[in-house]
Amino acid sequence: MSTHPALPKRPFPWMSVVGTAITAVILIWSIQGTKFNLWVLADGLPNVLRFFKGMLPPWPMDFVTGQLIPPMVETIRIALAASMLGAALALPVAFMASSTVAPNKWVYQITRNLLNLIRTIPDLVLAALLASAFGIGAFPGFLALLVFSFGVVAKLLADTVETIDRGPMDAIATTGATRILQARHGVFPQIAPEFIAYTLYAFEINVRAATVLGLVGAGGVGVLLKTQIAFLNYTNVGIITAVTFAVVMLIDTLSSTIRRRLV
Amino acid sequence: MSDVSTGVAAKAATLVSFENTSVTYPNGFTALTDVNLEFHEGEFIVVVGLSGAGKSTLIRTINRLVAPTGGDVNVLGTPIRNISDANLRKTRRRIGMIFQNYNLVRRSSVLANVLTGRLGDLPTWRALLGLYTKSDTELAIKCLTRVGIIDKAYNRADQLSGGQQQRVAIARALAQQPRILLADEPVASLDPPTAHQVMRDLKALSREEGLLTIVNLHFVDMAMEYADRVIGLHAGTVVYDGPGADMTEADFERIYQRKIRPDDMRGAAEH
Repeated sequence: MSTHPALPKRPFPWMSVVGTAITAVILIWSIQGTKFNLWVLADGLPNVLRFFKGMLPPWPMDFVTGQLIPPMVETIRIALAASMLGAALALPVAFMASSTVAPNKWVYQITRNLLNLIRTIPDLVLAALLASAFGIGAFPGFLALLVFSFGVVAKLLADTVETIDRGPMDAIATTGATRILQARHGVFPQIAPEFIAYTLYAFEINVRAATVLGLVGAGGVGVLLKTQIAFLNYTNVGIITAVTFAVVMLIDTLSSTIRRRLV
Repeated sequence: MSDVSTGVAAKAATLVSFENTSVTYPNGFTALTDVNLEFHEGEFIVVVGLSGAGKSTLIRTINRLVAPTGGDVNVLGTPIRNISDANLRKTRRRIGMIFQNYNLVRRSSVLANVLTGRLGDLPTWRALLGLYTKSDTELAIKCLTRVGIIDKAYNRADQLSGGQQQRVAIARALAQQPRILLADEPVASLDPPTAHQVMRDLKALSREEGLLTIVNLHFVDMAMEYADRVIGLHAGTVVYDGPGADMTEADFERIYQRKIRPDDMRGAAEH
């Protein structure tokens, strides 16, 4: 009956045992770093409840219209301006950062690396830095998001340009047009829908980012949020959070609906 | 720098001359070896040969999509081997080119595609903004009328059939007001009736405008039917140069290095 060959001796699973041990050590070490404490958690609970109660209507309308709406509008304006201007600046750079259009490999490599560098700067750090250089307000926030939009649109667009049909560009080259004109008339029409979609995508991220810019003094609704937190006014913090949430959601939905129709 | 106008003055002027031209690609493949040819104003030339024989290289050397590595090519009075970028663009303006895959901007309108043929002659700022002049638009409309698809002017290019797209490409080349028309396998993607229609269009244009037209074809029967002059290439050298009607079976076999087969024929036009 039992003519099965004998199962070979099971090797000791060194990899899983050592791996589990190392993961456990890292987990414990990192949690200790967070000063995690159940008592502190329990102590803060009433504040959290007040915060959630504040999120529910009815809201004190004089606070909403008088103090909340103006910085909220400012937030959207910062995000809009930064996305549109950042994308406009990104367009020529995206061409330089794609091997299909770049005039030579030096331009290509340098712009690629520059774009990678730009995208490693966290936008809040940049906003804090710019706020200390140019003073507190919407302007440094706008600049920070401009740099971010530029970086993200240029990178995405450069990758899209790499995938286009080279044929029209070659055809326009044979009419005696310069490389810039080949990009303008042979490549741009192919990537225009993506260009608008990436600009909207940057705008969505910018709206979210702009709501917290105020925390580092760079304008928008975050300024109000910061003062209300400082005054321990959790009801108002709840209202700000709820309105911000609603606005971000609305813009996200609108923008992604348009994007889906574009591409 | 010799000037272009010397070519215009003489009758049946030489527009292109290959002078001991050789092309070896960076990968070591030699596509043309010591080619000597002269092409004249108004000639309708068809280049035939197996794939890899150097047909495409021959055509692409004329507008320097491929650079000669030996000898030179004189195009519209200018030697192009060591031509400057600016002079190359100037020379290219007078050379239209048609491709197998049409190479249209698919998302743009037919008219916008034809207008790109005007870019080389526009001031940079106008060209960059796409601000074509009224006469550019009129010329584009004339070219579209000429190829018989003016009613599609505002359609997106990708809504057109293959034959219609190739005609848009011809109109784009015409909008350059060229003296030379290059066509690299222009009918390879088309069905036989459409292929013959496009060949007839090209031939008529060449006649009426006095264009030097150089067409690459895979099919020998089409070459014989349309060409004033057939250039047969084998392994990068010219093995036949003469009127299409005079070609013999021996000439075919020299070009193709074997007997003619049915798939070397496109089939007759449905006149």
